[in-house]
Amino acid sequence: MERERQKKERKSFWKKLDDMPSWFFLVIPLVLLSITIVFPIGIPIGTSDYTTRSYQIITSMPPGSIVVFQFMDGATAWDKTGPGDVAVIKLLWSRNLKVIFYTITSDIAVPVLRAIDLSHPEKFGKVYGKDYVVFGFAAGGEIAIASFCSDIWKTFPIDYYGNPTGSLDLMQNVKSAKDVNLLVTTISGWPNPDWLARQWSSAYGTRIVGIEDWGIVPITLPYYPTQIQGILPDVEGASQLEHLTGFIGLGSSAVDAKSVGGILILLVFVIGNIVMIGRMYEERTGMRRQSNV
Amino acid sequence: MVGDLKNLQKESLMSKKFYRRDLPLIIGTIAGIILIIQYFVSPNSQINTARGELLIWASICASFGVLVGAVGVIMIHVERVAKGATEARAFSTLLLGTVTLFVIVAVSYPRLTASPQYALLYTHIGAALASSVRAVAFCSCLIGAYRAFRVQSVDALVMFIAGSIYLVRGLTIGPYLLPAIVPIGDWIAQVPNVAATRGGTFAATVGALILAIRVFAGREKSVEEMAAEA
Repeated sequence: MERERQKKERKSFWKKLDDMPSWFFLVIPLVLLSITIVFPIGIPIGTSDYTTRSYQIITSMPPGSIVVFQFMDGATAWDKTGPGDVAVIKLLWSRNLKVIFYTITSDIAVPVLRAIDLSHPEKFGKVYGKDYVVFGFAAGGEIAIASFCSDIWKTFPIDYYGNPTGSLDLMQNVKSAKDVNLLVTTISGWPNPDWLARQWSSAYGTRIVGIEDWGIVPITLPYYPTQIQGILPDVEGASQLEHLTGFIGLGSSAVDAKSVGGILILLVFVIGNIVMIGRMYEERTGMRRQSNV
Repeated sequence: MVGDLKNLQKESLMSKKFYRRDLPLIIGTIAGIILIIQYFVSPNSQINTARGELLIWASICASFGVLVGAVGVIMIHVERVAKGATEARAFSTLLLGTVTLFVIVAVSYPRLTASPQYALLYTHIGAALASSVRAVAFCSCLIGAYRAFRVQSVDALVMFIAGSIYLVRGLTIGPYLLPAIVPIGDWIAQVPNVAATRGGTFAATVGALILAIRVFAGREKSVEEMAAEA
């Protein structure tokens, strides 16, 4: 009798799978992703149309053109968009474009400096004030963008280091968005693409390249390629741009881990649903057995 | 005497109503009308200059908003440290300690937040924590996908198929192993997704326009409620 009871209480295979402990989902990705980072798989990197288009837009700019690099994402997005930021900045340096950096999120000012440091302006012979300028944070979201586009000097009377904007060589001929040839911007979610379309593209006709997470691409696509001409998606976009430019960096090192992470999510989806079907089958057969008894 | 007092109270309420509801409404309406009119006039007109000034002021107001938010957060946590339960007190102390540390480091060096010391602190605390949160979120995402994303309806099945195709299309390994996934994934993103998103954006824009007109006309109830709450 006791043995019978224990047998009944013993969990079935499907039940065991369904009650998988949470720590399992912490350990598995940790192990798999660590292995992938230490021993990269070396998946061949193709080039998507999005990346090729972004590359062509940037390389079509004549040397000396003014580019604004606008950061709209927070520090948490660094893992996704950081490699793309660095890859694009290196490309901008190599094309001798003049770059103005600013942000509309309060927590990203330091990561902006980090992206600039990682792109090694000194190796490209870039001089602060002449080839690039860093402004800090402008509050107000869309209002901040509108204000920046309308009058850069009034929005930022001083740069991030406290120098008066009027004293910077690069800013002598740049007063508003009318003087800007290209906007490169990170996009963190809705309604960022709407802001870009309203404040940059429709108002000033500025060409736009967006650096973003794959998850954000669907909300940018309604504006692509009319208002937002280029999209650089996630670390994949960064690694593809790195291969196009030859400046191999953060994107290429993260791309394998990203692939493994994605496949893991997909596997978990599928296994979870197989377990659900298994349990449903088990319950039905159990009920049938009970009714026969 | 009582009548005078009542009159005074009435007047005070009237002035309260004026500066809490009417004055912001008047300023907002004038600003909104200028921002709309500038789309229909010459770029060199005075309205455009006024628009530029308004935007600068709006940006300044937003900066003050950030400051007010920061002060508000600090005040709440100071109160919690003074009166809160033990656990809440511990978290609030941690928050206040971190804020103090960042402020001290920022003001201790001549380049303020642009100093390498501040960048070091930010990168090794703020950015490291942000990455950790994202990593934990990935694991939670796995747990959620395993336990909650069960295909039990046609809607869920459509979501599962479209999501899986888009997910695989976005990975480097996806187009490498299955080249056909690229046109299918791009079609899902560029046709049904764009159609639905544009529809949603259009509806939201029309809604915003109606709301703006109601606010300008002083007919929006939420503005009155906001003033009453204030």
